[in-house]
Amino acid sequence: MDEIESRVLECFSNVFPSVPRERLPSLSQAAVAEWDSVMHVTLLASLAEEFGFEMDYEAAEDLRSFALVVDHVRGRV
Amino acid sequence: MGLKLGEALKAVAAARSLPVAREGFLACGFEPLHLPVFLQASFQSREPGFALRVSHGLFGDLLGNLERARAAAAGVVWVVLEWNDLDPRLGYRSSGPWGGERQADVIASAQARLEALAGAIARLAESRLVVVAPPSLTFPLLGFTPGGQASEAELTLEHMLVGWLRALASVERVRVLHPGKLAAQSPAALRGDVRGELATGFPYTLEHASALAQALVELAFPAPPKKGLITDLDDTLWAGIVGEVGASGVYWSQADKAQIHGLYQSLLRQLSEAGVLLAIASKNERDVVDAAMARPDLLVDAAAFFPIAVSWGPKSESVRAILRAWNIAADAVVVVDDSPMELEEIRREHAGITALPFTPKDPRAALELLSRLRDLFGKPAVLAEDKLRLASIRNAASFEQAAQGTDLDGFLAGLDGAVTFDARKREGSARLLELINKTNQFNLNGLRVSESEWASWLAEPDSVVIGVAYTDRYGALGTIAVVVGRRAEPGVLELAHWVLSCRAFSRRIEEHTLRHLFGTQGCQTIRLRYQQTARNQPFQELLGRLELVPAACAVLQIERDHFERVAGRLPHRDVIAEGA
Repeated sequence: MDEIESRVLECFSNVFPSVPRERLPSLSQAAVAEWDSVMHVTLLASLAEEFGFEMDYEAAEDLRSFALVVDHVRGRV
Repeated sequence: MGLKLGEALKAVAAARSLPVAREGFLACGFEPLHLPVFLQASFQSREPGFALRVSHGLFGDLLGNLERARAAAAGVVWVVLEWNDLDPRLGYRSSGPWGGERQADVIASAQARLEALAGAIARLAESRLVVVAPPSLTFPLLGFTPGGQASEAELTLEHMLVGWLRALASVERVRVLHPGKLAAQSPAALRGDVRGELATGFPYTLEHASALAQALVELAFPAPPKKGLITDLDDTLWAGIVGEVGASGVYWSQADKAQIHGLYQSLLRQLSEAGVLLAIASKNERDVVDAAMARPDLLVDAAAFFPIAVSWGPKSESVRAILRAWNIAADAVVVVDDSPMELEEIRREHAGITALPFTPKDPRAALELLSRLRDLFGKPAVLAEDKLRLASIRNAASFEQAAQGTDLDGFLAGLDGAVTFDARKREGSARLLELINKTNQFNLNGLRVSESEWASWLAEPDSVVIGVAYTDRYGALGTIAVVVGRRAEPGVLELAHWVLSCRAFSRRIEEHTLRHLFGTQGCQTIRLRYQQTARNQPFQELLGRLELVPAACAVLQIERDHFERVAGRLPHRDVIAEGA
């Protein structure tokens, strides 16, 4: 796991504290009941704060898995 | 520096296993999103062993959310306003229109909405604490003037809002967030997130949300105000060394380039008028200090300082003597001195004392000190007892001196003392709640009472809430005790709270209170929900006089005939308050 993945993992862990850490890298929205629209925005805000970029909420609407989020962040930093 | 969102989320997750100490309701018209998280995390940082539960209402319905708050169990409601709560046209999620002849309509609509909100907030405040945050964002589109020139419409709205806030500030249990205080933590230009507002309905940057939450939590759950301030004299209360230049050679005015000392004196005057105890600890000769304090141009009343401890010994000893005279603990006191060495010596000897430097050569830092003093001593309202405090401390000193070496009961019998009991549940109730929440030594169990719990006690038909006042030939102490309880079963009065101010010790007011309860509440048994605390030794002493030996946490019972046997003859008159 590289540095970007580690930091994304930290954000996921903060937003979804009830999900075991080892499950996070394979997490998708369909598998987590508490990943609703509010938690999605919270996750996006947390990522924007962690990586220092301004979040494009429309573009990030479809980031519904850990893997997609990591790809998006790699493209932004 | 406020919390980051990641830190706040971590803190809230860690608090999931903690007991919930407080419940709050966030009433806003925008999407609450991160604000509840920041509120919880801010609370956590102040009360590490406890959690705050925050509920909220529906997006876009502030007035409805205030009604939902009434039905909620929350002891505190935060009402966070933005301009579009007064009229949707004053927000970016509406397309207006707000210009032209519609401005008058927007203003009229805002006025009507403010009146409706005032009524809803007043109803909420009947039973819980309400903290109101005025709009913290600007809406820069309402007007034809260039941006730097305030339009008549904008100023009309601001004027309406300020009048509305002013009226709310006088409502019991309503606290209005100071816009200036928030501005110091969160610059106006960095507060709004229009991208986020349009996408999600949450209008704030994370930094502003964090600062706002911190301010809201501080207002809802303030630290207990400090009770006394001990000040140094040379280069603190005044510029100069009075022992070297004489009473006329020390300064505190703008003309003498010593204005910061004058500002300090004026703040001390304001604090003393609000009931804060002031004292002096100075290494000097007494006669020169007296001469300087007698100057008619002093900006604080010299009589406001008691005691004045002047000696060449360690300052910590002067502080010790002052704490003894005041009969308050070090953690309720602030010391101000220009000497870091003196402050360190005092800190070493008095754990918990707040020792702050006065820096006359750095006016910015000195002004920050004055603001900090306002924060440390500030309280929501100044009560009648606050104005009595200094006189009663002086009287207590005379009392203690006269009582030394005498038969106490005989001495008390000669004081013409009167203990007044007031069972009217509304009269002076703010003072009674303050007593319960700040008294540590004579305290039945150390339990504190929230605003909403207090409102419940006052409203309950079977509850007993009695304020106790005392006066004798040394003067009036004001309301110095309160008992709270309920008739648990026929013939039994159960006390949940019983406190007595340390200023009123050694007068057997405790026994008078029990006698009054037995005589007026129709009970043969008084049950006490007692808990030993680190500081309620004086309450334990009463239990000893009553021949009760409790465990650390116990339900104790005092039978009427046992009390009359052990209490014996009591020295004062019992009086029922007029109208009670």
